[in-house]
Amino acid sequence: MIAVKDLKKVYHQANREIRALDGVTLEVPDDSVHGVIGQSGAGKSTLVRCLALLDRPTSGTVEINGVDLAHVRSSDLRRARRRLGVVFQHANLFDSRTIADNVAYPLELAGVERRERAAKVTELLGLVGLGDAAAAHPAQLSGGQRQRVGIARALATDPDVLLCDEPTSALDPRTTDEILDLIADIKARLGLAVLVITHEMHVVKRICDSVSLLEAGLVVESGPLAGVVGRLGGRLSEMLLQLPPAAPLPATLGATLEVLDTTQPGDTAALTAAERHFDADLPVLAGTVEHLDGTTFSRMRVLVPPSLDPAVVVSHLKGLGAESTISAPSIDEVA
Amino acid sequence: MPGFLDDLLSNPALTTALWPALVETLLMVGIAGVATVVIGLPLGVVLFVTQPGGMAANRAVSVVLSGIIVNITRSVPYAILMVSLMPFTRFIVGTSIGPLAASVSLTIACVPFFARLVESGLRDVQPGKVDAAHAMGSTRAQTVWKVMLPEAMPSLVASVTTTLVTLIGYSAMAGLIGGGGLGRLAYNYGYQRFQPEVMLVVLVILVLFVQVVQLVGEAVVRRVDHR
Repeated sequence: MIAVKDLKKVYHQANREIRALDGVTLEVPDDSVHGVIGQSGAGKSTLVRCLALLDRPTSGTVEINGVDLAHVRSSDLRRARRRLGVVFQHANLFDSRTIADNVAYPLELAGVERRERAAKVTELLGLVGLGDAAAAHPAQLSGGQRQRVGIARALATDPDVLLCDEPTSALDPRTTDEILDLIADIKARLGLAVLVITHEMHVVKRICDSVSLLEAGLVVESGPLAGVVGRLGGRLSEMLLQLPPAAPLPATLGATLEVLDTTQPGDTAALTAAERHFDADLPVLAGTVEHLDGTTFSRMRVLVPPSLDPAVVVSHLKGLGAESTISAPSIDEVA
Repeated sequence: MPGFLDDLLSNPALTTALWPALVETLLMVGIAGVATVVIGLPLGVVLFVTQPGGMAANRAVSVVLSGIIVNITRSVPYAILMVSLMPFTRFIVGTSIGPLAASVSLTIACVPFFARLVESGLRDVQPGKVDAAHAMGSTRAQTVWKVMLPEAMPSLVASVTTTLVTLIGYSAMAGLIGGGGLGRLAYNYGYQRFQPEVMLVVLVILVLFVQVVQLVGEAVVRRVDHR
């Protein structure tokens, strides 16, 4: 498990103070994947550098299984680092070494004997599905294969925590899914705590159990995936269940509602139940559906005909277990 | 034409003086080449790691080595450097003439040049690889030795090639001022005794020499380049 507490990083640049991280707190239990999502400039890179101990944080702690890495002496730091595997965006393999020697590098540093090293490398390359590429050089592999090698290398010292920095941002969509599935598979097999830093919602949807939104050096929203997605109006919910922009409608057509319905398989959709109850059509203008952890999340923009009071519809939907809000009035009313 | 060729082939400048001169040149380039790599490689590494923002940033060392010693040595033309180094050369090898003496000034002229090439070769190693090395727990020495130098190897080999070619040029110049070798042969026979044909032969040999060094260097680069 990795626990980050009140992590701060302040840079000084020409008499200006830049608070790249302003007190980040995170916790990733074993056998789970936590995503940190943020736009560029949010502090993602700084967070990765501090967690990978490439930069010393200004204050705060980074604990792996109770050992604070941010404050150990440099000599102990190198040993402590073996508890943490890092996967980089561009894999950062060493071109001068073969695939096998790339994976063996952390083992060389740890002083593992040659024979033992070879056995471990074979095992790791098998784990990532590249058993036959041992003698190749990185340049001979595709981007996805290189990232697999990067993952194998990160796992070489049997770490407890895997830190993935934009692991799929340089890959095409299909390879992205292959790599994400590999990370999820490895997490399940080895019981690792995995922290994925990314700007792609897709990554969060596909493999994360929980997620944090990083903005201006702060975690502004955090929680289990189902929890944050089910919160209508929440930033992460908006990002994960994106709707196309609303087209302006004449007020005479009625009001529009934003509805977020959470259903289990077999449940009747709240909207369908409401249509029956009011004996009226509630046309869906736009909608996004995601299945996460066996739960279906449907976010819709719904038109409420003038014959119905939108407030009554909202409270009825609430009774059916769906959150909803009345959207901003259409342009006709503003005018 | 056969007469010209006969004259040329029976010219003592070529029959007796050419071979020793060639050996002297090879000796100068060989000794200075090895010494330049042995001294210049670590110096290049130090220049790289001590620069501001470097792995072992050290302002004082960086200013002295990079700003003063390397830059000043590099701004002195070789012919002048060679003459001014004569007392130092005499102190080191006991004489200021001959190929061994010339190797001293050749080395001193080429070390800063080679060190700069090493420095820029190391700078071209992607920072991500250095981060990866550190993140896996490498010491700074391990990062340089096991990651940066191997990763920069194609560029380092190319730098050795460039340095050797420069050395061949300098060695001909060293010949004029007591260094011996092909430079002196061309000067003594070709210039002072008005035998342009000797000059031409020396020129051809030097061109071939440079070609061979360049070709071998490029072949080695292809061997070590896995990018």
